[in-house]
Amino acid sequence: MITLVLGGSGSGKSEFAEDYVVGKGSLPRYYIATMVPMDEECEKKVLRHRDMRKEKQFQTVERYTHVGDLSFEEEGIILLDCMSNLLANELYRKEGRNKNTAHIIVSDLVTLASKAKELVIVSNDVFCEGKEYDAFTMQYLDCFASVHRELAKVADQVVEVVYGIPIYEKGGIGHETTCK
Amino acid sequence: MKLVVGGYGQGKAAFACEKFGFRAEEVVDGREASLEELAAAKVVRNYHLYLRRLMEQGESLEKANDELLKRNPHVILIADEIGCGLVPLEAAEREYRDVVGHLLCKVAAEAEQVYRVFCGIGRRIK
Repeated sequence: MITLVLGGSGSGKSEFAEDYVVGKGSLPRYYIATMVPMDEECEKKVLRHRDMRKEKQFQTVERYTHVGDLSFEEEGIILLDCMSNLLANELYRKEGRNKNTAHIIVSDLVTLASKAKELVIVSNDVFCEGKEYDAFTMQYLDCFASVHRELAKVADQVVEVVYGIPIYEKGGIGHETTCK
Repeated sequence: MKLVVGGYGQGKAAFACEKFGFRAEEVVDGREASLEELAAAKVVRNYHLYLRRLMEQGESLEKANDELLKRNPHVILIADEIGCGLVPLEAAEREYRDVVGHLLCKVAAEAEQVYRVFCGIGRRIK
């Protein structure tokens, strides 16, 4: 089962996703951290997120690319935070796969999901800014949006988090208002 | 008239085609199309960019929008949601979001149906 959790910066999407996982009961909880800590700002963010997870009993796995290759001792519930970092890593890091990236990431995540009872994927919603960037950035945005659309297709639930409030775009509460 | 909105790259045109039974080739792109082409179109994408062009040419968006809807009252208009980023430094960019945003509010108010597409998933919001 795949749940996709999307929201803007500071929307409360990570906290929502963590609490959602905790709410699933006593399954082993794995946390895949995808951000490469490159400077002080990143370190601060990591500390804030670690602090948020302290009481929630996650095993943290740092993984920047190739998430489909991970294996786990016990079948549990996996939280991956955040897909936008994974995408940037796969696109721009030396060890990343920089061709056909959107397709590869979706296929990696589906493989990852098959190794757990549930995979919860957190990603950033950056598409309502109304700005036209240079070709390089637009290419990144196109790839990003395409991963979201493909993931939404295979996901059982798609949740948009607005300041901590979940809006179920697919599955869950309220899905009856969405239309084909 | 129907309005389909959503963020950049969310699959709005594909949703509209599937939902209302049109082919991708039938969708006219507001980025470049003329008023004549829009008046004859079944589905118009990037309507916000059409409005942006008019704004840059100093034309009245309201007048142009009224004329289009008079000539093509059953058109399906597709536009990006554009107002959720940082407030831009350039005055013209700030004006664009406000003016086009307000015009799209008027379009939504007049539309029989309004859909919002998120990640390829359409939801009727009016």
